[in-house]
Amino acid sequence: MPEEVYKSPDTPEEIKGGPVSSEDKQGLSRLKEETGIKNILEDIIYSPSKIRFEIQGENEQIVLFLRRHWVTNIHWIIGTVILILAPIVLGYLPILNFLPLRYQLMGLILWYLFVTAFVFEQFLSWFFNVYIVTNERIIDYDFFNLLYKDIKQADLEKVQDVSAKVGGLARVFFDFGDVLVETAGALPNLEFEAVPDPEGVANLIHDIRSRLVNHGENV
Amino acid sequence: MMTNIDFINVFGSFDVWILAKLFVVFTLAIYVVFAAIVIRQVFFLVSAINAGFSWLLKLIAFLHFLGAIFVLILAIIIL
Repeated sequence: MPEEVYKSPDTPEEIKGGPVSSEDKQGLSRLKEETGIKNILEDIIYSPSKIRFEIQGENEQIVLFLRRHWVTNIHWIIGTVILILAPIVLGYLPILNFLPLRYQLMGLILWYLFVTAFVFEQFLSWFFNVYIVTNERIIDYDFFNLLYKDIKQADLEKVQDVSAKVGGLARVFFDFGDVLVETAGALPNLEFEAVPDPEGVANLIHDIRSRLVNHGENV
Repeated sequence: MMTNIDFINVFGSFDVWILAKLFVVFTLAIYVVFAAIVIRQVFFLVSAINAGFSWLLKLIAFLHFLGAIFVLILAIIIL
């Protein structure tokens, strides 16, 4: 997993540093520059240059790109291993021996087709359900079922409070949790679920927002 | 009017494996439709967020679709 590149800011001036500078990384302990496919599979990417989203503005830059922590995939990966091994285990039991060989073979092929579809769907769900923090707004992409998407977004100026929540053994151990972004007025609150380093993410959003509101700086 | 004996004779002469083959082929036909929807889904997702190696995801979706068609044809032939 990503090595630590955390650099704590020493002075307030450092926090107000230049665009997407190393100072922006304050509080984030697992940030890396995007360099290739390996990093595209990361659950947290800082200032990705190759990632674009459909509603991205011309001058809008992604500051932070988040997915659910990789550990949240463990349950379906274990499930997949069990599904792959199941026919081998069942092969030792004579429960399907009443079927002709060609039907047994077709059953096996069908089984692995379904497993393939299951794995692909689970991966797509993880890969494309993302949270994006840009220099202008925060966006929560949710994809449900096959062809339905829900995009929630809030301008950084409308953000009132950002809080992080980490609870449970696995979450504390692997350092992931939820980040709640509360917005002003009737706008819906945004919740980043099971993202890595929630406190660092909350701090970063808070700093970008403060800079934008107090100093009118573009990140 | 069909008696109980006639009823048993009709179904007694019916090959259960034809029914099984129809069931498998029908299931696979639905699966092929699902695989086509997955291709549409991948294009939809990639257009929403281009997060790298889109070509690979599209390739996997296409291979999955072709695999489903291949298995459907195989089922029609060997069952």
